[in-house]
Amino acid sequence: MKFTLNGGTRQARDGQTVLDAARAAGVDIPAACAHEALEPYGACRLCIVEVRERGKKRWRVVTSCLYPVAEGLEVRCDTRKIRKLRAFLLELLLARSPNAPYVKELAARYGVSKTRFSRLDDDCILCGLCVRACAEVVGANAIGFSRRGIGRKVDSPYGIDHSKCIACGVCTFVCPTGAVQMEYARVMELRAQGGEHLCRYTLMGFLPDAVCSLNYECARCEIDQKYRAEAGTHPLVARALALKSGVTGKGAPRKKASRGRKPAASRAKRSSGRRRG
Amino acid sequence: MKPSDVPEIVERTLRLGEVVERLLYLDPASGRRVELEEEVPYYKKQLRLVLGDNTRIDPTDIRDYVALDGYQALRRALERMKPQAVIDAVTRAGLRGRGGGGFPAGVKWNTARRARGDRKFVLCNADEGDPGAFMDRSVCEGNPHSVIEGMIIGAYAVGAREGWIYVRNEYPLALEALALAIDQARSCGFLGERILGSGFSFDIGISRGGGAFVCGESTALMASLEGKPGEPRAKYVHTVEKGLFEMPTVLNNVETWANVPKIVLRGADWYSSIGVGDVSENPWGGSTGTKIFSLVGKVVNTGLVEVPMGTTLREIIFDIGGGVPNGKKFKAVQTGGPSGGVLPESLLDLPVDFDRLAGAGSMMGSGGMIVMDEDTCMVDVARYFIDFLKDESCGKCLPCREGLRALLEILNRIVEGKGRRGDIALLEEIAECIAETSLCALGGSAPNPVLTAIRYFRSEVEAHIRDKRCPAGVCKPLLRYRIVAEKCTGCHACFKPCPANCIAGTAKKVHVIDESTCVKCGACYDVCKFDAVAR
Ligand SMILES: Cc1cc2nc3c(=O)[nH]c(=O)nc-3n(C[C@H](O)[C@H](O)[C@H](O)COP(=O)(O)O)c2cc1C
Ligand code: SF4
Ligand code: SF4
Ligand code: FES
Repeated sequence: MKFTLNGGTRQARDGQTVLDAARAAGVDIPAACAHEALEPYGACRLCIVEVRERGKKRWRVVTSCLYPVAEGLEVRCDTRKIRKLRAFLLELLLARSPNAPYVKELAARYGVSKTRFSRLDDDCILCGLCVRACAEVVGANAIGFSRRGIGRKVDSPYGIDHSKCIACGVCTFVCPTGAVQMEYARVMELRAQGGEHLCRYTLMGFLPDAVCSLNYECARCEIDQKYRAEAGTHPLVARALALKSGVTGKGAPRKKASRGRKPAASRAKRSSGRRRG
Repeated sequence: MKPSDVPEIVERTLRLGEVVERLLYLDPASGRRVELEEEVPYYKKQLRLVLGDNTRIDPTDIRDYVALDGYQALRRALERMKPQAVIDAVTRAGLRGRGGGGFPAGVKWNTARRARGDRKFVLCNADEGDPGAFMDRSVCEGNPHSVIEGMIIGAYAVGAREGWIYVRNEYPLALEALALAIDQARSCGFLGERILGSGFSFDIGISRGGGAFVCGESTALMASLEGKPGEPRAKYVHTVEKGLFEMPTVLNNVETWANVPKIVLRGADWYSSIGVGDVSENPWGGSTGTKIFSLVGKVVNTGLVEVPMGTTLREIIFDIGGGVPNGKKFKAVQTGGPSGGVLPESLLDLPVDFDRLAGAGSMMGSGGMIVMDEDTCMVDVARYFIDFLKDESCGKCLPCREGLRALLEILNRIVEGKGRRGDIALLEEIAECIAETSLCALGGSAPNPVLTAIRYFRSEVEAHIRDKRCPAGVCKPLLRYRIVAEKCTGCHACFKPCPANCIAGTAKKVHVIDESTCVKCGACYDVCKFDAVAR
């Protein structure tokens, strides 16, 4: 499929998003809530571009992480309008998380270093990567969003129930700002409980029934080191990526991925029963 | 009328055929008594196509609805029309969505009919989240079968077998009325397998709303129906093609559905003759049929008003609504719910239709109409709506969540007398970013109250910022009460009402307000007969 990007003709695969196609062509678009292992989400709005569909007159501002490339689509990534809107979005983001190095660097990259609005000092940018990773990659759904509007935050059920969390650490791994505390909280909880716990790599579905012998001091555990080193990224992310790229054609990846996810979630259930008993 | 009036009515009206003059409706505008309901100014200019039957039928008994030609449109569609003919009729009638966007229903149905999917759905949006709006509630409670019949016809047209009505949880009566109506329709063969002996089968379920304003947004509503959090998702692939459970889905508003049987029964030409514009070639070419408005605020007659599209604001507010009470001056009307715009007196002759309202920076929305008088401060109004929207935003996307916070911050400092030079431009800049980049239409329309306040009431906004003055006398931090010595007669009337005891003065002497202890309640201002209290 052919489309134009900043004036030049490019190729894209059927079903590819503008963001993916642009990145494949080496064009940089900031995208704080997109992750190649996860479904697009459209929350940060930083990935905006202008598009014009074939046969249409009007240019529209759209989010490239969600917008599918179509034959003859024209895309402009760096117009004055986009630069202005993006700078403004970054200014708002900077007001929310003025102390997060990730946010400061991202804003600086696009020329934004100050904000005219009062600061919130919350490091969580609500990109939802953690929540979606926990649901899509792990299948545990241990964290979600609570409250609406400006009060929205990442939370475990009722703010206290960590029982669905398998301490896999994907949320911590994907969080761009280090705001999510779930893995840490769960590990501390397990350590405090003492007794016998399944290894988190068993809960993730990588290792047949193994019991943790180090009281969840994963950093000292060679199993942990081994899987991380082998994957070169978080092992669950690696697995999700492999599942995604392993299947071709539209619609199929989602189904496969969900089948792939099952073990972790169902094991989590089994094991939590066992832990309590 | 009171129970004690009954004997007189029986005696004089029922027995002797006389009119009991003293019980007639007294028109506050003309001071005259009115004999016939149609002659009451409130009803005279209305055309109650959708609401009309509410007073004539018992919503708990399907026979009432059937007696008034109910389900005749369905019979006609099933027996004499191909699905495409139904779609064409709705398109030619020019029916546009009553829930907000004004999207032509026929066009939507046509796309859904053509879209491929194993299952197709028709949905009814009865979430009605606008504060102060209750038109959909009134239709669901008063005439539930009109909505159900509309949905069955729509399902037949697009080829759907399943329908859902998404009802706001705070509407227990509507839930009850709809559930009962669905049961009755099913037992009469209007719903279920092989409807009216045709090959077409369809059924409807009811779902309780998620309880948030944003759940009325189409994609959030569908997420909520799927059992997920009621949050909007981006829809570059439209929900008509991939909606509920990724299947082709038609979502229409209660009032939109209730219009469908009328169109099928009385014809597209009849329907398109009501309203404004020409929809024969282009379904966006006009606004046809009627629209129900919820007329509230500083207006004599409040309530639901149904008028032909194209009726002017002046007719609605003054002829039907009876104007502004207490001899106050009209200042503005807000249309379209919390994210609509405020329109000034100079636009009173604007015909109310989808495109004119949008052109004026407001919108039809679901039909909210709030009238404001001269005692209303437009900055305060904008601040109020942004505050509402900030809490109702789902918080998913950055511009809506953080942008509304920023807007509110600026508006707050303006009403507190801390506005800065350049704040108007800053408000406009934030507004543009929110409207351009938000994920759903909540953010897309949220800046309207601010933008229209700037567009139509700029000098009032400037007075707040530059002169630290609130011309309408609403923003307390900006008010200063003083007594004008030349005007004060020393009548002492203001002395007592002051709750802060900050007025000094004895009879026949000029009084003085101690501004340092004044709580700015305005009691002295209201009580002074000589206009000696200035603010
Ligand atoms: C924030 C928000 C709230 C909405 N609330 C409602 C609502 O309460 N009722 C409704 O019918 N439409 C509501 N809508 C409009 C719906 O998204 C949708 O456009 C409509 O239900 C489609 O039906 P129609 O074409 O018949 O109007 C809302 C839209 C937004 C953005
Ligand atoms: S550590 Fe817990 S919360 Fe975080 S992704 Fe893993 S299961 Fe989910
Ligand atoms: S905790 Fe981190 S990953 Fe989760 S939403 Fe916040 S910033 Fe994103
Ligand atoms: S990356 Fe597209 S909206 Fe965040």
